[in-house]
Amino acid sequence: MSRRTFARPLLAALAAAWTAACDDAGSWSVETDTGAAAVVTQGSGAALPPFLGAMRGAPYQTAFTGTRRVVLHREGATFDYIEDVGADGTGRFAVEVPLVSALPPEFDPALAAPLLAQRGRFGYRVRDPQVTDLAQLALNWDVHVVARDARVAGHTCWRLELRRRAPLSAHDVVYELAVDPRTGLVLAWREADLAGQVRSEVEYLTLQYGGDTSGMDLRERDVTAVDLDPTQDLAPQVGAPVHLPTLTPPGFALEEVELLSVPPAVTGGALDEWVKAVFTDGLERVHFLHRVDRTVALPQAQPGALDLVTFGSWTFGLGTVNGVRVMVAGKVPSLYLEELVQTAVF
Amino acid sequence: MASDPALRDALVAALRHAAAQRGDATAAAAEVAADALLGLPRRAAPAALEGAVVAALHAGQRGARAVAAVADLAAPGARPAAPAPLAERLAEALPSAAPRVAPAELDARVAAALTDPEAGLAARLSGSLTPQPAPAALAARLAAPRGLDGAPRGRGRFQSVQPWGGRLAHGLALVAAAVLAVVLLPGTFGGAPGLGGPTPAGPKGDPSAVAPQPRVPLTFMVRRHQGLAAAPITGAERGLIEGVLGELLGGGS
Repeated sequence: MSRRTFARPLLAALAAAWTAACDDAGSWSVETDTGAAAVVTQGSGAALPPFLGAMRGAPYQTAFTGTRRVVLHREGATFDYIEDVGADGTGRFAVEVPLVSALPPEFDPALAAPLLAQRGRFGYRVRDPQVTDLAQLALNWDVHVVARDARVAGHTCWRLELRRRAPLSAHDVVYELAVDPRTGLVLAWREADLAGQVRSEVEYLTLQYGGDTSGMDLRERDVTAVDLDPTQDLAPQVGAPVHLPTLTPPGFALEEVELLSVPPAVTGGALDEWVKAVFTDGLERVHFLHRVDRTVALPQAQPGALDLVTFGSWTFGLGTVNGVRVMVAGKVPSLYLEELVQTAVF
Repeated sequence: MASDPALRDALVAALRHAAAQRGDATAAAAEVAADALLGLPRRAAPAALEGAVVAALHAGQRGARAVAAVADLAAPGARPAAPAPLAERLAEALPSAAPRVAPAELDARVAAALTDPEAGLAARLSGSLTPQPAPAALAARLAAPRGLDGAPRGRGRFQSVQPWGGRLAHGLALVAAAVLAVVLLPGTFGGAPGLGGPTPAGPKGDPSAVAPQPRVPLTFMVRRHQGLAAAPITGAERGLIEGVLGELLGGGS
């Protein structure tokens, strides 16, 4: 019996117990040794917890294996599943989905596990909260230390609450994190709106540092990406015109620019290349992408249109504007995404 | 310092000519003065002058230099103003040459062309298109006014005793419909979010949060969709979006 097969009954039991705990308490299952949480506020004027700086690289630079439960509330439906996660500390990681408890009705349960595992790798990189820039985090977010002795999967964590200092809208997001101060690894996190309605919850049920990853499919990124140097002219680096927004959401600044290559096997046609610019406020990210067009064409007379869709906390847009195929996504009011597009292609 | 004899001769001649004009000098004085002038230590020409001479004599980059020179003229304060008497005399002799201020629209067009030449080119290209005549059937329909229900005027609900009453009622109704559309669908053309279309799950949240205000006008259309299925999207783009969001999207996966 493989480790995966053997683990499934155990995982199911863990998930059931976790569900019961949540149902009973009606709240996060992270508990503190001291009982009533002594709230210590550490805003902008105070020193930030020292491990925050290590959080960005922790998922890749820490060798561990663990099992976590993922619950996502999206547009009236719920994803509820178990992930096996492993990393070897050199940048390679694996996300597998051995158990799916709940899915929106449009998903085929037989296909859900591989799809969730594939997307889970992206989620591991971009969905899970991480500090992208410590200085910007201090500028834009208030970090409240709720407890220093929260226990998650047998590890003592700092429990933090992060709120944007100046909310961008009434739909702003609040994060609660349980972070292992020794590694900077986030062992549990919850995302809610300002009214307290939970949108995402992830918590490790088991976690072992330096665990055995020999049976896992460890890989780095799935998409071929080339880092571009935004301090230099980008067009020669890409070999085609590059459009970058000049007006970003309040508090956001350019973090990185990449050239993504989507292989023909995925597109069903030719190689699809996109320039991707990522902006961050220290914790959240906003993405702007445009398709690389190496053809010489007359300027488009039509201004074009952007189709916007809201999904959970995310709003993403896709369209052809001023002749450029663009994509934009972020957990910010859609107006800011529209302004990204406007200032990038006009 | 050794001097060029030809230069000395030219200088002596110039001084003699100047003395003759004044009538108070001799030829010997001109030669003495020339020797004195030629004996002065030579000063090096400014580097900018040497550069200008080389640039003027060098054939290469002439076009680029001409463009740069014209661009310099366009800089504020670069063009010296003509003396006032000259301007007055010119205005008297040639009224059409009197200084005029360019229309503000011209300044705006030049600024737009410089900041976004592609948009200017697109506007010119689209502006040069030949307008196509309306189909004859449309002209016929316009010639026979009808009510909002499509019936010929006189049988519809918006019957009017005025000859143009049907068109007026039709126009007013269209205006009213447009106003309603703007009021009820504020996000359709880049309006403020949160006032129309889908809203994120959950209650409104902190009422003290300020709704974002537009910082730049949008020049493209924004369409909001309730779900992914209604948005035009390819499979590859769906995969890319899911990769960017780290989410598995619904609506047909």
